[in-house]
Amino acid sequence: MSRSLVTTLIRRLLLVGGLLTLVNIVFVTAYYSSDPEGLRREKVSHQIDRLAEALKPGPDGRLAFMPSDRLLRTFTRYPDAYAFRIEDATGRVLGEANTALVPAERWSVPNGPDAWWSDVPVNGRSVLVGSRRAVAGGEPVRIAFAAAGDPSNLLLFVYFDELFVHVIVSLLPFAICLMIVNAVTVRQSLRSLVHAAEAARKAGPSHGIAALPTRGLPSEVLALVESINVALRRLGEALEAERAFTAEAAHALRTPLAVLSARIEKLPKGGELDAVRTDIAALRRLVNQLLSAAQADTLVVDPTRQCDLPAVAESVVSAMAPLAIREGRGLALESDTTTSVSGDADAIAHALRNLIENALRFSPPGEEVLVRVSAPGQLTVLDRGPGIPDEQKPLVIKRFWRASASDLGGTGLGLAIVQRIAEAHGATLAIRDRAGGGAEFSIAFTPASLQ
Amino acid sequence: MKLLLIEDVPPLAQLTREALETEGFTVDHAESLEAARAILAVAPPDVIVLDLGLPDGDGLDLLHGLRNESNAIPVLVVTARAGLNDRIDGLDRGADDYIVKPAAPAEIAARCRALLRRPGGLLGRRLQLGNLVFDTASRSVTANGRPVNLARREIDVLEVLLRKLGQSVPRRVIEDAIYTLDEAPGPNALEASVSRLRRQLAEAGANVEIHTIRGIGYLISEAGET
Repeated sequence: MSRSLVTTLIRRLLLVGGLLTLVNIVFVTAYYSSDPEGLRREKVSHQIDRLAEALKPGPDGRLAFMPSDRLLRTFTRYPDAYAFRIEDATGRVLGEANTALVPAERWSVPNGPDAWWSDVPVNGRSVLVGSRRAVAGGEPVRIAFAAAGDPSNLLLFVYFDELFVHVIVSLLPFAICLMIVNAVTVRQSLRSLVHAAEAARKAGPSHGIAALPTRGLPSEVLALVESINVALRRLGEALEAERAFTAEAAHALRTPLAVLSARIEKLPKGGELDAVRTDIAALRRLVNQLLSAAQADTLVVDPTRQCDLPAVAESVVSAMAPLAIREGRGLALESDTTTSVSGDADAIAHALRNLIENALRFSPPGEEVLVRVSAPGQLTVLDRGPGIPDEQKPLVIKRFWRASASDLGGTGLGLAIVQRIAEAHGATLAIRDRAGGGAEFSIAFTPASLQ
Repeated sequence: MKLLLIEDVPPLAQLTREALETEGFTVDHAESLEAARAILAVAPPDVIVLDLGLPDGDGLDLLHGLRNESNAIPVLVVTARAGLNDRIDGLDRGADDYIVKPAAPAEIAARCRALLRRPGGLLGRRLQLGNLVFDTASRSVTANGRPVNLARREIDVLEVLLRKLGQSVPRRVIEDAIYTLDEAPGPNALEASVSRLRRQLAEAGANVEIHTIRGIGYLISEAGET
């Protein structure tokens, strides 16, 4: 099972981020528990901050204390635990609550920015009082806060506040940035790999075996792609050698075959010699088809080349009609389109010749083989032969496959060559039953206008 | 009928030559371009059968040279090069027909005769098929030695078909040959002419058959040849 590199990276980053957060929490916790006095002061300080936030200019323009219900609730719910007092420079009290918690002298705070009275004993309890001189709305104020114990768990708020500042605010944006940068970087580096994969998918006998593009590949995968290129090159050479051999062998066989044919022609007609002539004709066809197959294998269609399909069909049907008539069959062309298709006229003509030869061989005498060119770029050959059983349809395009062992008229290569030519044009040879009996072979070429 | 065979493979040349002689041709043989040029200079043939790959050069060069000298002698190219591009190249350079190796000598002979049946060709004056004879000079047709009375249009159709014996003749080639530019034949005019021609030939006892190749045109052959 393969997982995207981006997903893996993000999962690992999340894991590491989570661990770091945990470490951070443990660290913050340990730091505060080692300094309980500091933590308590932190609590008081935090509460003073909240009280200061509630100081706003009132309707008369003077500073007024306008606390939220939530802020006041702490004091109304726990009158024995929390108290505060806020006064301005003139000694005017802006707001206060539960001031009886500590003796009055404790509320008058000495000069200085912050002041502390730790462990003021009140009714056998230890109370912490803190005060701060601050400036709110441009006016100097003094805020004091006292706490006996911590029934409202204010400390917890402080704690979470600390966590929020140290973990979420500092780590999270960084982590998100990291993930985005990671994903983008990985995707960009892999884009060139996608091109290479595309090229590798296309590589094959029909498209030629070209080296995969290495431009822009990250060095980590460059070595792999270069090794693949070496392997592809060797494969290409082997394929080339094999094709060259088939082509040369077929070519070399032609001259001795021509000599043999000519020698046989000189001998008297009739009897066994006619059978030998038939055999030589079959051999000649086989050699020709072998050469064609080798040529079709190396066929690479230039997609910008155009081919006038009706004209090709006309010339092939025209050229093959005498043969059909000699064999007592008819040949007809129905062409209802003038569309050009993208393709190699020579190869398409060759495919059509093979299809017609095949159809003529399986047509009963007196029947007509029909070639049809229809929009947008369909070439179809229809016969009235026995048709092809469904289970044999995929087999007929295999090389050297024959309908029956006694069928020696064909080379078994014709339809394989047609299929190969269709493939080189990005099409396939479709084989169907013809309505009313017989078989129907068709290739849908790409109309030139779509290129 | 004098034929110049230019072929460099000795056994093939020898056997093709004998076969063509059996078919009624007088054959001169050249195994190189140089020898061919020498023969052309002293004894011009009626038709040339030209192999392309020769020891001292490409047969197409010889062909090109002939056409540059405005020599219109019919040339049948025989070659192992099977691609369409080679064929177009050959025809562009002035070949009259093209046949791919290995070709049976009978086929070579048939193609040569077809070339010679062209107007002005050696066999172009008296066209014959089966018991049918067409004299292009007097424009008279006989079947089994008896004259066949045909209208001018039918005679024209028959001439085109006979000159292209053994080949499909596209409708428009026939129409171009039998109608003047001013005439505007109806869509079925040609069919009507051909069916009249068929009937008259059958009535006269001519053993020829005119086949319809639907979507293309017509083809004439000897009856019973199929």
